[in-house]
Amino acid sequence: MPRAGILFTLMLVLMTFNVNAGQRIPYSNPMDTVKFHDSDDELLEGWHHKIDRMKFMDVYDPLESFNRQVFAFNRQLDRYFLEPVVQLYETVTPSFVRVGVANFFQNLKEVSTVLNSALQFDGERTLKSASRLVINSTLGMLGLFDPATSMGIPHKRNEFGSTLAKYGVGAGPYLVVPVIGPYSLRDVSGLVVDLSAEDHIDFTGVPSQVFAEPEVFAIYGINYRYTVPMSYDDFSSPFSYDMIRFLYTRKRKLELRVNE
Amino acid sequence: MSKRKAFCPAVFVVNVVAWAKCFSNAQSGYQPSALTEPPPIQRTKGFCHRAPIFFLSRRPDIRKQLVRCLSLLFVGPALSWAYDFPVSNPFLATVAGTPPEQQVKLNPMKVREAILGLADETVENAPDIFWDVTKPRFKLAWQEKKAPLIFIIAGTGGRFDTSKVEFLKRVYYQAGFHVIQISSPTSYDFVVSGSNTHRPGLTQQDSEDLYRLMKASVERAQSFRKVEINGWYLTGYSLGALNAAFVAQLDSEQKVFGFERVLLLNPPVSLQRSIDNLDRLLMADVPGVDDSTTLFNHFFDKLADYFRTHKSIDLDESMLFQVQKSPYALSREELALLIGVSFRLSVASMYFTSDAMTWDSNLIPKDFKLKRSDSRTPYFKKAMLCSFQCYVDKVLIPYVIEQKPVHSSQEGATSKQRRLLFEQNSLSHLEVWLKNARHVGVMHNADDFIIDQKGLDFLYDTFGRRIKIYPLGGHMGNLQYHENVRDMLGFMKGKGFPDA
Repeated sequence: MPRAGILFTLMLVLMTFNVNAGQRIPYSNPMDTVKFHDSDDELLEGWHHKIDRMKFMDVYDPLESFNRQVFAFNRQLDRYFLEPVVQLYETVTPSFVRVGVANFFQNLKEVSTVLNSALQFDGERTLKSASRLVINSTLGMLGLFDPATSMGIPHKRNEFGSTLAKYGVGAGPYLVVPVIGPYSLRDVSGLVVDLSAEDHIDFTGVPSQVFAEPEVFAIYGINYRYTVPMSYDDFSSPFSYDMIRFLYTRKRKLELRVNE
Repeated sequence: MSKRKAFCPAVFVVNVVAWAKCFSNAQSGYQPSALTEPPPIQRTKGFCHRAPIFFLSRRPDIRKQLVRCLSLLFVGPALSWAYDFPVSNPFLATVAGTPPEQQVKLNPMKVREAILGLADETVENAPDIFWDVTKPRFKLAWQEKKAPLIFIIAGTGGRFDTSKVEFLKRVYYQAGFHVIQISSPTSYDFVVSGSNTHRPGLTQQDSEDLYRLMKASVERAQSFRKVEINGWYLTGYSLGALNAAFVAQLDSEQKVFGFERVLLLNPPVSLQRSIDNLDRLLMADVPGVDDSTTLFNHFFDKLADYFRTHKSIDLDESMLFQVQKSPYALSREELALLIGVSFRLSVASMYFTSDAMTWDSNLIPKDFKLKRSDSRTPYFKKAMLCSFQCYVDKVLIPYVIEQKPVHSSQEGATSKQRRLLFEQNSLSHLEVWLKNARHVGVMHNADDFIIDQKGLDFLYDTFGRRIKIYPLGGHMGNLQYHENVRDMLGFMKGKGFPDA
């Protein structure tokens, strides 16, 4: 009992001196922590008046008018057909099935990755991709699973477009390809080469069927859209064409530079 | 505070209340049932029922609780300051948000939702390039049972399904709300089909547009399926919070919904201050960057260097935090520039869209009908040169003057109009109403660059106990932090803010 009494008194004392409860947090101005140009500096002039300073947006796009038409078509196709289809796909299939399907088609792409890494004389990547191909096709049950990634060999795509770039072929004009979207002329040519190589080598006998059987091709297509992580609606802007064109070309340049 | 020092009994009462809260929390709790988050302090139910005799208890768990609550008394004020948000740089927080491991954990659950259009509100005369946004759209998420409905208004330039709105949707949906997500009046789609004047930025006018669309959305939702609603709530973040305040005020007059709770997340207080700061961010001094081309090359090179050392390109949520730990970390100036650019993109979109809809002819020649195949790049470049201030001067002021012609000298009229425009469309315009609006609360950060000391003082003076200010978070950086989500839901469920 005396102990309780002491505690109670202590509490009263503390409460009385506890005056900070309603204290206001002062403002700490983040603008004070940043170094700014002076207001009459050239940069501001640049932002406000000089149009040639916006040339970062320029991308070689001689077919722009055609591309913009295709872009609008692709958007409509995406909104009214592809996205609803992908939504349906997500509703009717459990996620492990979708992961399996995505793995399966990714494994097929490994063939062209091995070839292109070899063509680029990139021994390490060739070896890695080849082991991925072998591991996933056997242990991974024809590629439905991806045990290679858990073994520490993550997927890293390589395509003929990159091989061409490696040997000095420029990107060429920007293209918006019907259905599949933004590409450069070089990279879309690379895609054609990769696909025909896949078809020709016909690993596990699947690729030739993918293009021959409409049902399989449909799954291929749905999976393709499903694995693209973006939507046109991500760019809610009247300038989405310009933004996607800018981001696509920059992203490709970045990929190629990182590979160097 | 000085008042309290002078009058000790008041301090005593305040502390008794705070202390009582410490115990009562165990029963009502700040922990929203649906959320799995680290609870602040675990207390047993039994203990609180026995509070009057707890001193006598020999049970170790109860004694432990006593020690905890006592220590809370000791460090009570300190504890209310102990906000462990891990990012202390406001610019980094704004760009990167909350690190994934500190985010609130939401249960993976199926959200029943659909994007719905308002056919009756379709605009007729929009140029062909706006084919995809001629009908206003919103997103509905419905519960299968009777539930309250919350409207969420997006921030600057944001569409109804922008990531922050989607996050808030999941929070409230999981807490049992129907949700209607509405685009910001400054977003591309809203400028075309939601706004009556197609010149967004005048908060009063924008709020009337929002209110109209909100009413139409509810009607549409109910024709779509049976949605049983037993209460109305409203929230918005950033500019959307300012809109929400004006909508709430409008509703208190027209009494269509009768909102039970309205929560404003990081609203601008003075529009003038907000846009001045946002425009200024683009002037951050980064060595080697002296125009927009060098700016983009600069970030591009930095990213390339980072990726090259990391051997892969993974653009996931935590990437920026990892970059910040590397030698390629972005400086405050670089982060400020990035934020400035992203806001500039929003202004450019708004400016161009408005111009194409109204033919104010700032960008597009009069009567020139843009087609889908026409290049918009030259307009994009021109629009990117326009700051928030430039948008106000070129679009809003001429419009306001046209609506209410003033006959004094042109120069004086413009500056007067500008002052008036900012006054009438800022949060401070609602001061008197907000002071008495017991159902409207605000959450903000003490290091948010869209306000200043004056703005923060205004919020404290106006909202009284309906305010929660966090010391960190930048602009919306702590939205997903578990404590913020807990406080948000606590306020909405009528429990007020802890230690407010």
